[in-house]
Amino acid sequence: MTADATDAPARRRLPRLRVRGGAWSVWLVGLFLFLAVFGPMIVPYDPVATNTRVSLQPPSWAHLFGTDDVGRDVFSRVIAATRLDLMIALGAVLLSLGIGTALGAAAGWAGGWTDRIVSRTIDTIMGFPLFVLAVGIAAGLGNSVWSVVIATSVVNLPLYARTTRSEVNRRRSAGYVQAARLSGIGSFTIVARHILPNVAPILAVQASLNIGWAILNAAGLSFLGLGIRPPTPEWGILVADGADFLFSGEWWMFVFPGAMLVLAVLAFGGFGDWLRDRLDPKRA
Amino acid sequence: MTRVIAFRLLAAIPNLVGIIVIAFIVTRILPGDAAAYYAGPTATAATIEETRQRLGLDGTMMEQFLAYVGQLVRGDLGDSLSSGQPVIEDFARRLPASLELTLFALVIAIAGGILLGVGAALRPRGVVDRIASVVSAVGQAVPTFFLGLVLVFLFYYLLDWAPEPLGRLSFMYSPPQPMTGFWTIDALLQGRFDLFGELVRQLALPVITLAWFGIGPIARITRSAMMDALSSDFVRTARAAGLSRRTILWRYGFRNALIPVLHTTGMVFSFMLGANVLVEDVFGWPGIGAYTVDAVLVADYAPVQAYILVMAALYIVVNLAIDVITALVDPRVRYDG
Amino acid sequence: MNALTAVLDQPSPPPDTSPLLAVSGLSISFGGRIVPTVQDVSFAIARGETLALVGESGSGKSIIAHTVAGILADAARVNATSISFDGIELAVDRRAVEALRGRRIGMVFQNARAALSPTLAVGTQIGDVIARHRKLRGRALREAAVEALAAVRIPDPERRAKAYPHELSGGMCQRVMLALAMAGEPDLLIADEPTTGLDNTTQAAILDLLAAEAKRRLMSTLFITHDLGLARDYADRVAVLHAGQLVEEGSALTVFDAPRHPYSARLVRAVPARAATVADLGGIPGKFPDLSGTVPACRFADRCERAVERCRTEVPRLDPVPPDGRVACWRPLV
Repeated sequence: MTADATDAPARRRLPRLRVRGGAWSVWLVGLFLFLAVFGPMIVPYDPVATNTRVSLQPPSWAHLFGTDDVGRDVFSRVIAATRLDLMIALGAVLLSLGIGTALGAAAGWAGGWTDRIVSRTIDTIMGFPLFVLAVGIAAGLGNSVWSVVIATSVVNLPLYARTTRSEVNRRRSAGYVQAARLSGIGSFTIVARHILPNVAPILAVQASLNIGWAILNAAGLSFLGLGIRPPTPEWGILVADGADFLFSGEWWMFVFPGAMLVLAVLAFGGFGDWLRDRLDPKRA
Repeated sequence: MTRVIAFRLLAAIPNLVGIIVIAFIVTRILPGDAAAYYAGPTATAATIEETRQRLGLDGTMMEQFLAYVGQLVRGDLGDSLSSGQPVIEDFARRLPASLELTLFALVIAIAGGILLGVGAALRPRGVVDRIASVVSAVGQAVPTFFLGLVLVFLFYYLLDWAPEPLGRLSFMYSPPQPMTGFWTIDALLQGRFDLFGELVRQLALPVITLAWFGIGPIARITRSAMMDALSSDFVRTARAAGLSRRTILWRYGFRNALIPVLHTTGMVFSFMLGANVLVEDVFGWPGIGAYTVDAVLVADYAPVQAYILVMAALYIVVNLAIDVITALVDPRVRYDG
Repeated sequence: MNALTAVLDQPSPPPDTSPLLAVSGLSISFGGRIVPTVQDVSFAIARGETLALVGESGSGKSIIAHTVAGILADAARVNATSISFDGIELAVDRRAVEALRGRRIGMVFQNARAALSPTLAVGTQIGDVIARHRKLRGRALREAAVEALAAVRIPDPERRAKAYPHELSGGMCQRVMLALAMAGEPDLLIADEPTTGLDNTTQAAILDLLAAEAKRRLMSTLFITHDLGLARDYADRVAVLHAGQLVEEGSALTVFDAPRHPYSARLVRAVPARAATVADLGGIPGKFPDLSGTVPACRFADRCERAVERCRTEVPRLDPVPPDGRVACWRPLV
């Protein structure tokens, strides 16, 4: 009997703006990519050039986001930081996607001890406050962009390894895999050519949803002063620098880079949802 | 019940071992020569070598690891370079501050998340549901440290409602006699109610910042679990039996929605332990998070190791507590072991 | 003999001939559908009587039962000339039933284990109902809950009261349901497919218990079932539903021995042995009408070999059938 609420009158549902997964996020991601590539060329001021005559000026037409304590243009710095932040996030996601997929595929295909060791390692990483782990790793690796990339990718590894493991495991006994096996194709080829392409859409969605998180994680690390060093413009560092001037009311220094972070996370999150709606309709 | 606890404790051992290994490895991959660092800037080759031996850094990896485990067993977490004190003493002084902050935030996140989630489940697409999705969306997109700074700017700088975000208590007040280490509770125990109010004012912003990120996930899981429970056969039975709305909602509905909520609470706690580092940094909170960040910045690795271990231990304890509560709530769990 | 039965065994009041429950002109629709799922159904239950509402799944029998108890989903739109329970009108104010639920109207559902909360001991759940309706507390409440379990012949009730649903068998859970439904000492028990999913022996035990309790407590029963055989054995009267329309009503024996509606006749013919149920009827040709499209006036018309043009255009009147039955058919069997 169809007494459930899903039968509720469809006519009362007003058209609503699709907040998550809307096409706007695709445009926004495009804009961010554009800024990452061309940002440093189109900014009005040199993002690292100091000019103490115009220090700590509030937003104006000359300086859209105001200037910082040594007279650098905040707008230029925020835009110029896009490249580094996106490179870190994308690099971290690609790294964990690559290694995580390889580990997961090995565990899912081989089973047995390989599976047990990989799964146990994954569980250990998952069963731990991830940001704390990232802080520990970044601290261990010292001050470089790479330490942020690696720290962010390690805490993300389990996500990809887990998904790949279960998907490969599920497909191991599928008909087309059995057929490939019988025709004498090697394990590596079967996994790489016949199984992974089927898992790819799921991983692509996961990776795109993961970029926003990677941006947050990387910004958190550099906010604490790990990895990247000033005066390199980076959103987390810009917020940290601006925080010192909050108490004297120079809010523009921390608000604009922070808002940029929020916008980037929203854009990539929405993009991930958009991609999921298209690639993986089951989970939509 | 004892079986449940024993079983979960045993299951936590591999994780604990894994964490010890990670804590060890993290500090061994530190760039540069730790012995040279410890020996100080004026060290000669001879004193560096002597320091290396003193620190046990001259053995093989395995020897070093066993020496490290041996230290741990004796409760020795090493000495901090920056403070010159045994790490365990610094931690003992600072851990209560971190715990007070995190536990308050956890309580607020659980209470807020459950209320929002239950409200949203009662009226999907209603006002409460909308509020819950906004809170949740903000929690997903806004970095912890940025939310903290925005709150400070609004409530301290602009509105002047909150006290200066520098630690647990303004220097104008003297802290309570240490009893539990939780200053709010100590103040209440000593009957210093004005001090209690001041402590709560000081706690408010960091706690809200930290709690915010837990409210979303808890509200979401509560909403869906509650909607499942409310449309279940047993709630229909309870309604047909004429039980009061309150009984149906909490005793028959919520009680059965509690298991997934508890599970999510465990994940939220884990997240909070991480975010705690950032919040302590923003609010000048004298906890172990801020302490460790300072240590990290000067490559003082004993505190980092200790921090990772303490966090892992906390995480294991809280998850054990959640497992025990789960077993208390759901009789089916008790027999699964 | 315990205190509970002593109270109930008091001399019965002078016979009241008005029906306990009288439903007339009941229509129920869902969502944006124009065709109502239940159309213009009327029936009555006398005091102490058992009426079986029989039909295939999807016939609307459970929806009707849920409407009487006022626990239908909010998405449903209910229209009724009258739903009168012991003189109280429930059709106008749907909240009026709230005061009756559990106290004067009890309800038993199918799949009892899922219908009991998995996280509370069964004694606690019965206790909740007793506390609500009889205002007992503490030890008296616990004893009353154990007594209620004993009344439905659960062995070792003290121990069973502490058990959880997953620790009890399906039949045992159904007994607990029955105890729970009767904890408020209702005048009307609605049993919605109470034995579906139970084996035959347990089914008979539960229904015998239900019948015995109904008789002892002078309780009326609305018995929802898809099994015509069970209806014949356990009901005084039978109302046959087809696709939301009431097609025939009468005393159980009359409907069984001399069905007047072609649909009832098919149902009876299809139940030669006790084992067969309406659910697995292979003998009725044609599909159940799709209520999301247009349907013939008599919704059985497309499956009926006696159908004439009138059956598709005009809803059959409910005509009296001697001695006390009714049939809705333009060409009834004689």
